[in-house]
Amino acid sequence: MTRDGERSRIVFPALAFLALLLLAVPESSVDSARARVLSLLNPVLSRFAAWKAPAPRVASIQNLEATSPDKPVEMPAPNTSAETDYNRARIVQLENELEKLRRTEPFANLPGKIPPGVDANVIIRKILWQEPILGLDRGEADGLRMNAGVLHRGAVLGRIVGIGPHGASLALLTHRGMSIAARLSDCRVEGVLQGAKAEENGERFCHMAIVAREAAPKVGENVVTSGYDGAFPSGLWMGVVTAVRKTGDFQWELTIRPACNDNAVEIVHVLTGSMPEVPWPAAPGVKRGAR
Amino acid sequence: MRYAFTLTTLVLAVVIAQLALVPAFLPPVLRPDLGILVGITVLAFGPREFGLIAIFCLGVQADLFGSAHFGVLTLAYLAAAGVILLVAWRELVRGDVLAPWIGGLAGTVLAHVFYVLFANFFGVHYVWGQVAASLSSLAIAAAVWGLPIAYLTGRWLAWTNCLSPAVRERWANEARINAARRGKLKRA
Repeated sequence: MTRDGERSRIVFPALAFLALLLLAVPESSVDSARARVLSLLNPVLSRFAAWKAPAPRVASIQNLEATSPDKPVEMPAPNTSAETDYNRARIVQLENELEKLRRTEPFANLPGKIPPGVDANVIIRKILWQEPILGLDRGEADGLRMNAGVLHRGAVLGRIVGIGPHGASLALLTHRGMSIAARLSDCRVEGVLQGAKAEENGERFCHMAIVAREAAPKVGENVVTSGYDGAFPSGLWMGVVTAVRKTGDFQWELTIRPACNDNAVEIVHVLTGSMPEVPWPAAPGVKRGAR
Repeated sequence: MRYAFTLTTLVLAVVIAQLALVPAFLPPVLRPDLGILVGITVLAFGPREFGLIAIFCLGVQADLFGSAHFGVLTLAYLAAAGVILLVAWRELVRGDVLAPWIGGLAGTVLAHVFYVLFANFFGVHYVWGQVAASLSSLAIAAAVWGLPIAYLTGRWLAWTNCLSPAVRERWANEARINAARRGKLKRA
């Protein structure tokens, strides 16, 4: 016992010292050592892993694929590095889908329901006459029509400006030719929101001219659709007032920052509803039934 | 030579079991840290320096496959073994499987407490609630699997002739007494 004790009195500190030395081993060396040991043990480990109920695992992957038939991926042979790569790619794919869906959720501060419409993917982005135009993968066959309003996350994004049977193009709020009937949400003054040229820092804004006897537009006030142009129902968020300039006794020129950043748009909601027909009275001086 | 063979087989068995068998067949609450259980058993049944070397090697394998910072778990294993030797060396080496079972349980808890404390020095911070949960599950798993692991490791050490002389003598005595009892029973 005494000799044993003497030896262990040397062995223990020596091992503790060695363990302290291990702390200084760089992570890269540890990683390569780990990889080497794992590849050495791979035949044994993969054999044991095969016991790990192979049928449900394959079935679960097949179920996963069944939920997304638009992205068929060929199944690799089980328990190979190809399977690991496949799973990694699948995770990235699903995370991407999740992020995409998260970005299509309506803004948290928007009340009410989104008007009926069709969701469409943005499949192309083009700059035509210095204005960005987005291409959509839905067209007339899907219920879209010319000049239909387009929303993104519940806020106004733009309008359909070109349409085909299975595709459409969309001009953004900031497009110079765009004009949409709008209303200031607090002071309830109406006007027309129009696209404008790019500002100095490259950010695109819209302009809105209002004419009113008594109005007090404020910076930070929200702008919503008034619903008078037939493309959008009233009350949809368009943007925020960033600058107010008085141009006359009863005139103001407002600068509006659009609600949606068009760079992040992947899925849009195209409105398909139409305004009810209003039975206007006949023009004065024309007798009823006269031709 | 036989010590090297025994140690290699033990380390290999622990690596394979820890990487393949335990995660495949056991629920999280019953997944033990096999390294410290086997190490404490070797310390209990084998010569003391062989036990310490075994604990070091098993600590290195644990570090390689399950540590946030390489070397910390080895240090924690050694510290736990040191504390157990200091406190209960005589009880540990008395040769029955209960001692390494309880030693393994204590070693598991001590090693992981030391691991968390040492890991703090290297910038790896754990949430104490999670630490408590992990420690509880490791302790439960050690209590459940400690006894069979101690028995199997002891048998393997006996088969490879790596037992400490005191333990070998005790087991031989017990075998003789058992054989004598069986003989008496047969004669009766």
